[in-house]
Amino acid sequence: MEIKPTEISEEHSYTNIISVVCPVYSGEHFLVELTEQIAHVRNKFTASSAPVTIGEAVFVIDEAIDKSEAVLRELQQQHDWINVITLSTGYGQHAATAAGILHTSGDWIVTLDEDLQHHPKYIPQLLAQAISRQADITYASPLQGPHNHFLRDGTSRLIKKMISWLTNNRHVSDFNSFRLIRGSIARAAASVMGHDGYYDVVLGWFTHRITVLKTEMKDIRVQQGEASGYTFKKLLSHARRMFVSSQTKVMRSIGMLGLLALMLSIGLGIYILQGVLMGDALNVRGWSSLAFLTLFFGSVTCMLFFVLFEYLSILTLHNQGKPTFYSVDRTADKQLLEHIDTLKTL
Amino acid sequence: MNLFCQRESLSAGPHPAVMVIGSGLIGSEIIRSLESDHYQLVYRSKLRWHHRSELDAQCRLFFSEVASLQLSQITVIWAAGKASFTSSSAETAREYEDFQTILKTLSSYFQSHSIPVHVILMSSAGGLFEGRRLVGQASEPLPLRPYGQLKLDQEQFVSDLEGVDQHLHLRLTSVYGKISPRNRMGLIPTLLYNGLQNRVSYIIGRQDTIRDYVYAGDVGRAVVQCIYTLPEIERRSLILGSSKPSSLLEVQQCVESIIQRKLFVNYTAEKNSSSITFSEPLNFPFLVNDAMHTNISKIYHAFAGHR
Repeated sequence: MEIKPTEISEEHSYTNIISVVCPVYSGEHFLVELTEQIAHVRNKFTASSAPVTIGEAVFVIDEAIDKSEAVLRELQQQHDWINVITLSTGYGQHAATAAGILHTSGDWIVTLDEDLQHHPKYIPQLLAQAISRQADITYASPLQGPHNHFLRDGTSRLIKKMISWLTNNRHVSDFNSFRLIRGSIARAAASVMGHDGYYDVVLGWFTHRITVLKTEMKDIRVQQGEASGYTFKKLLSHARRMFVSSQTKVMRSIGMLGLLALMLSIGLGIYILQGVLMGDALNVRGWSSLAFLTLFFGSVTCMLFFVLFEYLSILTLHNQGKPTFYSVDRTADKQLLEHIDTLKTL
Repeated sequence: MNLFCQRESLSAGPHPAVMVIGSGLIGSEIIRSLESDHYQLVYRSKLRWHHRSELDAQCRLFFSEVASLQLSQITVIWAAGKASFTSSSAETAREYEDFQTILKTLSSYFQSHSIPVHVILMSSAGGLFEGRRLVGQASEPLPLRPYGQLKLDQEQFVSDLEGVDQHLHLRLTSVYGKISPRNRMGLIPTLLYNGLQNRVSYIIGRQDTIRDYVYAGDVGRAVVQCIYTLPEIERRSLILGSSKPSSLLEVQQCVESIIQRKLFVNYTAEKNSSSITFSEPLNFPFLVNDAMHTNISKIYHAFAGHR
């Protein structure tokens, strides 16, 4: 389907395009239904007065372990708005998502999982949330734990909170693979992201206008008795990736500790010197000078490590593609704002 | 005008020939691909475009030189043209007139000698579909400026031209190729060249402007394939591109990673800086390499090797 936007003006209307991106690993049993649901939302947009539509759906095959590719090729024949990209090997969800995003043309991009845990029916509400809150990203957030398993859901939340504290990034807890992102920002983040980057952390380099929408999410695989694609090992892998993509305050904490120790050592040194000059005897010989020297050189070492890691952090982030600046155009949002009520009820 | 015949067929009676008009970025790649495919240059004549009143005569001189060749069929590939996005109506009108003159002369000559004529016209997807996204093969062109209208007129002219047995319009997306400082260069070779010189590149567009970029080498190979399969191609107009939309930021990042230097870029958002993209699948019958990084590396190393 071709979209024919013209200039934004009083006389002409601009059709906003939503691109859907879905990494595929083992979606053989879900892809047909998923496509039907996307098509359904697409039809609803077309039938409504809102100047927005789903222009394309990009499925990225990331070394799928089942017949997902055959299913997608069949769907591609039936729907001209479906695009299928096959990666040469399994690069992982974030890389596959970035690859899919780099094949889109949409003003807004929705990323979702293959297994209907993320239902396309929420796409209009995600967009409405972004427009009404003047945000660039809307994360879907589960109303209750998607895996319906206390340990799994609880561990996931705990690790996100820890990473959030360590990286000083308050949005970590909101990160979700079901997200709506402003197209230009999504593509910019995807184009700078390194091979080990965590996509949502990279998104944070471009915008802090993030909002959250509560939606229903269910791990249908588990409900149908299949093994969940979610494992503890994967969770740790995600955590590691998040950690290395971010500047952490661990190093800064070490630096602060070093500074504190330095000040303490100076204070102790002054105290000892004063005692010596005033002729006061100290109880344990050698203790005071030893304590002072240990504290002083220990703090200097901490400070040196802090400086070293700070430079390393800057170099790493630069290497990972963190931009100096990026500009964005949000002027088309006002047109969608006029149709916000329509979007919310779609 | 460059006339090619296949080497092994030259001495074997009537044989097909290929005439390439234009030897700029695209024309030179088509010529390179023909030579790789065992075609031999039989005759070359440089058209003197500034002597417009003599174009007809120049063509006739060309015919007299090649009259001895026994041609069973000729494929004329039009890859010439000076007009660009910023050309005025007067400039495009002049170019259209020259185009008509040459093609009419060619077609009537070959028709009078009972030589079947096929025409492959290098058109412009950007000119025809400016400001549009997710354009498909069946999309109707809607040019917004004289350049786009020129391309549409050229396509219509070829479709209606008497004496042409088969024709194909190849609508090229944004083509990038070798660095050639003396000639007009597109975005990517300009970024490469200026980047190596530590100069500022002035780009009409924004970091998030998205376009479809296709490598000139791939275009050349695809055109040569079209020569063989022309009768089998169902559509008369085909978009030739990579189908992968790339933002200017992505292109900039790619070039920086290849030349290992920061680029100094000044972006200017103007009316002709809108995004133009094309939907999958384009169903183009020939493989078009969309590995931009590989192609840009090729361009860079070819240039660096000659410095």
